Amino acid sequence: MFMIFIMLLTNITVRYKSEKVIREMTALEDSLIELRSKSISIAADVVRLGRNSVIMDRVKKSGLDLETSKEPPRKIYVDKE
Amino acid sequence: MEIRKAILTRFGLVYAVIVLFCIYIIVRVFIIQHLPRWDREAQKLDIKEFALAARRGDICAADGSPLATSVPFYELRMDLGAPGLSKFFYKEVDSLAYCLSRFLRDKSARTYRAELKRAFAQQKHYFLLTSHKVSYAELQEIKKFPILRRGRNKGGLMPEQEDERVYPSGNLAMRTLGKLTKSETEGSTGNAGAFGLEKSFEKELKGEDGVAVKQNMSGRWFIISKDDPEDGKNVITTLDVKMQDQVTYSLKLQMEKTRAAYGTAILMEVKTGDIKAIANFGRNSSGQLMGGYQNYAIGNAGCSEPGSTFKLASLMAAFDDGKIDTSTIVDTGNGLWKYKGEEIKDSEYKKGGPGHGKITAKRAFELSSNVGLAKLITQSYDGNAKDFVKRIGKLGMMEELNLGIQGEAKPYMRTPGDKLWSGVSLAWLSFGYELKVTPLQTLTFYNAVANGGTMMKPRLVKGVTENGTTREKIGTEKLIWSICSAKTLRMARAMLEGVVTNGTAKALQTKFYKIAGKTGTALVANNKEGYSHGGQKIYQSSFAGYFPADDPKYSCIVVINDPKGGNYYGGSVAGPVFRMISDYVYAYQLGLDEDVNLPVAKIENDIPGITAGRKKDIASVLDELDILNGFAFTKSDWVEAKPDEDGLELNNREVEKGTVPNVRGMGATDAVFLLENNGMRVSVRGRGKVKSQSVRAGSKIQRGQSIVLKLS
Repeated sequence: MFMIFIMLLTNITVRYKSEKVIREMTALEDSLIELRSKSISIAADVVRLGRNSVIMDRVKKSGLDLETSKEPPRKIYVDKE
Repeated sequence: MEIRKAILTRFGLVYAVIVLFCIYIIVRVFIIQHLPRWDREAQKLDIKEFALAARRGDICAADGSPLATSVPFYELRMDLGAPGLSKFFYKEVDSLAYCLSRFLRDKSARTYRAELKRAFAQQKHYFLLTSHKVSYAELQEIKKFPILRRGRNKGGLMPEQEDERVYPSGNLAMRTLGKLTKSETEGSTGNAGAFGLEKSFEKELKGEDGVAVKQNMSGRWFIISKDDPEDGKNVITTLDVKMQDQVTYSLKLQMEKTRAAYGTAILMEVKTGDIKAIANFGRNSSGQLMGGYQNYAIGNAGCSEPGSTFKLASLMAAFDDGKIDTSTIVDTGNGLWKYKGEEIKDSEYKKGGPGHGKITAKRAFELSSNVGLAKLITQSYDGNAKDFVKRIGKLGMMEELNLGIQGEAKPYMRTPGDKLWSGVSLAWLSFGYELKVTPLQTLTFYNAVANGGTMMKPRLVKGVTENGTTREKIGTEKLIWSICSAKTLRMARAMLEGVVTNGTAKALQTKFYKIAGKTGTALVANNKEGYSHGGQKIYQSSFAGYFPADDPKYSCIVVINDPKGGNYYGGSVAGPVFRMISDYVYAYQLGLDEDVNLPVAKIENDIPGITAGRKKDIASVLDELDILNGFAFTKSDWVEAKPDEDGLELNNREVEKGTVPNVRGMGATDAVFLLENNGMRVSVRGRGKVKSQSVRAGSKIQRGQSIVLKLS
C-alpha cells in the first residue's frame, strides 16, 4: 500500500516537473526569438543608417555645412628625434 | 427476526444502488473512451499541430552586412475579452487611443477610441488595431502604452509576428538582388524569389519548415516544436555596401539632372572580376525615376549598340593582327566620309567645319573619330571582314558571361554571311554599331585590359554560408588568360590614358590619380521605331574605364540612355558619374594606402607665420622647409622670429629663473610649458598665439601663483 502511494506521488511530481521544464523551455525559446528579432532588426537598421547617402541627407537636413571630401586623407610623417 | 429482515433489505438496497452506480461509471468510462466524438474533442483541446516557418536566408554584402533580410514585423491584435481587462478599460481607453493615434499617425484618436469601445462591447478576441504593421522597435514602444503595458492577460495585446523581406540598403542593386513573390503557400509579402539572386538561389535561401504542436498543459497553451525548422542559408555577394551606395547616389544625381530615360553603372574589382556595385535606374510609365526598374546592366533591356566604347576592341584587333599601330596616319578630312554610298560622320562634324585632318590612330581614338576608325579598319580588313570578326571574338568581347542570373542578354554581332551583313557593315562595326552587348560585357572587356590582358568572369556571389560557416564557395574564374599580345595591351592602355589627358574626357582629369577610359556617344535604335524615335534621335552616353591607370584597381562603366537638354556626349553625361564614383573609391579606399606627393607650397615667397618658442623646435621646422636661419648666433633656448626682407630675423627671448618670462607671441604649448616649469598655475583662454599675460613679464614669481593667458 505504502509503495503504491510513493509511486503515485513520484508519478505526480515527475509530471509537474516535466511541465515546469517545458514551461521554462518555451519561455526561453520565446526570449530567443525575441532577441533574434531584435538583432535582425537592429542589424538592418545599422546598414540603412550607415549608408553614405543617408548620412549626407541628414547632414543636409540638419543644416550642417559639411560635404563629402573628394580628396584622400594624407598621411603626415614626423621624424622621431 | 423482524429486525434482521429489515437490516438485510436495507443493506440489499444500498448494495444495489452502489452496484448500479458502479455499472454507470463503467459504462460512462467506456463511452468517453471509445466514442469517436470525444476523441475528436480531445484532440481539439489538447494538441494542435502546425507548421513552423523557416526563416529565409539573407543576401549579404561582401562583409556580411545584410542587403536583403527577413525582418519580423507585427500585426497589432488585441484580445478585448481578456480576463483582467474589464477593470480599467474605460478608465484608460482615452489615453490608449491618443497614444496610438499619435504614434501610428493613421487614424485620429477619436476613431481609435470609437473602434476600441465597439470591439470591447462585442468582446472581440482577435481585434485588429491597425492595418499598419509595426517593426520590432515600434512594438517595444507600443508595449509601453496604457492598457497594453499590462501584458497579454490583463492588457490583451497579442502581436502576431510575420517576416517581411526588407532591403536595408534601400533599392540599391534591387534588380540584381531580386524580389519575392507570393508562392503557393500564404504570406503577405510573398516568400518565393521572383527574379534576380532571390530566384537564382531560391533553394539555398528558402530553408525547411518545421512542425510544432500547441499543447494545453494545466490550462495554459504551450508551443512545443516537434521538428525544428531549418533556416535558409545566407548568400554572400561581392557587393560593397559603401561603394554600392555611392554608385547609386552618383548615378541617380545625374539621372535627375539630365532627365534621362534609363541609366546603369557597374563597379568591378580588376584582379578578381568581383562586382562591387551595380545600379540601375529607369522610369515607369508616368516618367517617374525608379531604382531597379529593369536590369539594364545585365539583361536584354540594356543590351544595345555600344558605340564608341567598342572602338577600343576594333583598334586592338587591328593592332594584334599587325595591320596598324598607334602611329599609323589616317586622314579624317573634315569629319565626313562617303563610303559605298553611305555617309559616315564624326560626332562633332559641321558642314564647312575644319575637321581633324590627318591624325594618328591614337589621336583618332582620343578624339573618338568615327571616320578615322572606319577608314583604319576598312583599309586593314578590306575583303577579310571575317578575320576582323574572328579577332574580336578572340578579344573576348562577344563572350557569354553565364552569371546564373535569369534574363541575361546574349551578345550579338553581325557577321559576314548573315542575311543583314552589307558592304558597309565592317565600317559600322568598327565604331560600335551593328552589334549589341550589355554594359557588363563591355566592362568585362575593359577590365581585362586593366588586368594585364586576363579576362575575369564577373563574379556576383562569393558563396553560401550557414550559421557563419561556409557551405559553398564560388571562386574567381578566368575566362581568357590573355586576350591579346603584350604590345597591343600597352598601346591600348596608352590610348585609354590619352582619352583622359588629351581627348574627349579631358574634364575627368584629377591631380590625385590617373583615370584611363573611353567615352561613348551612340545613336541607339529604339526597338520599335528604329534609329529615330518619333522623329527624334535617341542618344546613349557612356564611359568605360579604370583607375588608377598606373596600377588599375577598379574598372567601371556608366551608361545613360536618352539624356535630355541637348547634351549627350559621353564625356559630359556619363563621365562625371564615373568621376564621382572613382573620386569616392580613391578617397576612401585606395588613397589611404598611398602617399600622395603633392607639391609643397612655395616657401621663398611665402614664409609661414612662426610663433615664438623653443629654439630646437623652430629650428627643425625651418630646416624641414629649407629656410636659412641664424640660430647659431642666438644664445637662449627660447627665440622669437620676425619676418624681414631677407627671410626671418631671430631674436633671443631671455628666460631667467625666478622671474615671469615674456610669453607673448608664443603658442599655448610653449607658453604653458615655460610658465608651469617655473611653478605657476596657468589658465588659457582662446586659441592661437598668446596676446596678453595677466602677470607682467620680469616680475618675481611666487610659487603657485596663477596667471591668465589670453590667446587670439
